[in-house]
Amino acid sequence: MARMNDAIEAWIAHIDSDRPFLLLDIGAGELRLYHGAALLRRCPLVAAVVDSNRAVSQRLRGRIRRYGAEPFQPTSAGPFDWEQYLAQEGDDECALWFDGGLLVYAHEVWLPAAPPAVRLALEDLRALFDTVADSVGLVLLPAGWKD
Amino acid sequence: MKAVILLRPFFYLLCLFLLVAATSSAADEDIRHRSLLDQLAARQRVDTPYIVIDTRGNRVLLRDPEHRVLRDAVCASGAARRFEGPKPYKHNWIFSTPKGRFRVLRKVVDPIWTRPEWDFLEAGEEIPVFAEDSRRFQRGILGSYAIYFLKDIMIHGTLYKVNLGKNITHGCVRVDEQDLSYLYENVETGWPVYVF
Repeated sequence: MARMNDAIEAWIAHIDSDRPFLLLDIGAGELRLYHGAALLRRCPLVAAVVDSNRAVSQRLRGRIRRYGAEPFQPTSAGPFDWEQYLAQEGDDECALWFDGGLLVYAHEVWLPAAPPAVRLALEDLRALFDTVADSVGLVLLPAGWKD
Repeated sequence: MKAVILLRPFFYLLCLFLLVAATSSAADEDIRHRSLLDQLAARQRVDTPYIVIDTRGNRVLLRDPEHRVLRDAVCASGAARRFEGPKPYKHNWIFSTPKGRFRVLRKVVDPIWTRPEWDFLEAGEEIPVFAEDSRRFQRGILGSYAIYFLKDIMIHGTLYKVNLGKNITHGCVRVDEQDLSYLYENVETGWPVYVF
């Protein structure tokens, strides 16, 4: 119950901040993009493996992009400066990585994804990848929070 | 053995204390939970309906204060294309729809399009010297209505329905005539516009 309350408290704090944030509602099977109280986009979860002891409030640590056969590289530290300049938008194999360890991905190249991980549809992930700012907040809402 | 018998009451007291503490903590959390749910319900409600523009999915949504979708329209939004004009003038534009939170600034019937410099350059035409030059103004290009949410950026109609659903514009958001009429009639000045 305390964890659930912490999550709701973090959600309220994000609404008050009047900035974009993500809400992972495990019970509803959705990752939602909000701006303050306004609901911008609903992204249904294709798959989710989230253990119950993860931090309920997380921040985006890196937008991860895949460069050919090279290992995964954060865009801020990638070796191909020219490519970063040209390709700002997310592609199918990109992913979002949060400081609580949560990975948000869409493509099967990430399988098997170590928990905690959430899989979205390709279009939803690309939309979020392009939209969210660095260090955007994410609230992990445990199932049964309304009870 | 004697010591165990002597300590037994203290053990029972300790157990009772822990049980009371746990029950009290759970009750506190329950009270906190109800209070937070009330706060959340109050915070989630917004004062007015709002427009959401999804530049990736190319949709315009009108949502009511309970976040239900009132209208879901296909749109065309900014192409995120760079355009460089003639070198001597160092003209440089990026045609993308600005992202963030804005407000409906004004609604216009039968809007006149004031051609920006880039339109003349793209068409290979000479840029008129005077601001009043008639070549700068065109009627009918923007459709029947325009809903401005920035000084030069608006939701307007289109002559090219085939391009709806694409990232193709110079920054404005185009919708078809039916959706434009609905939005014009139902959206009020001051309502929030969220672009992402």
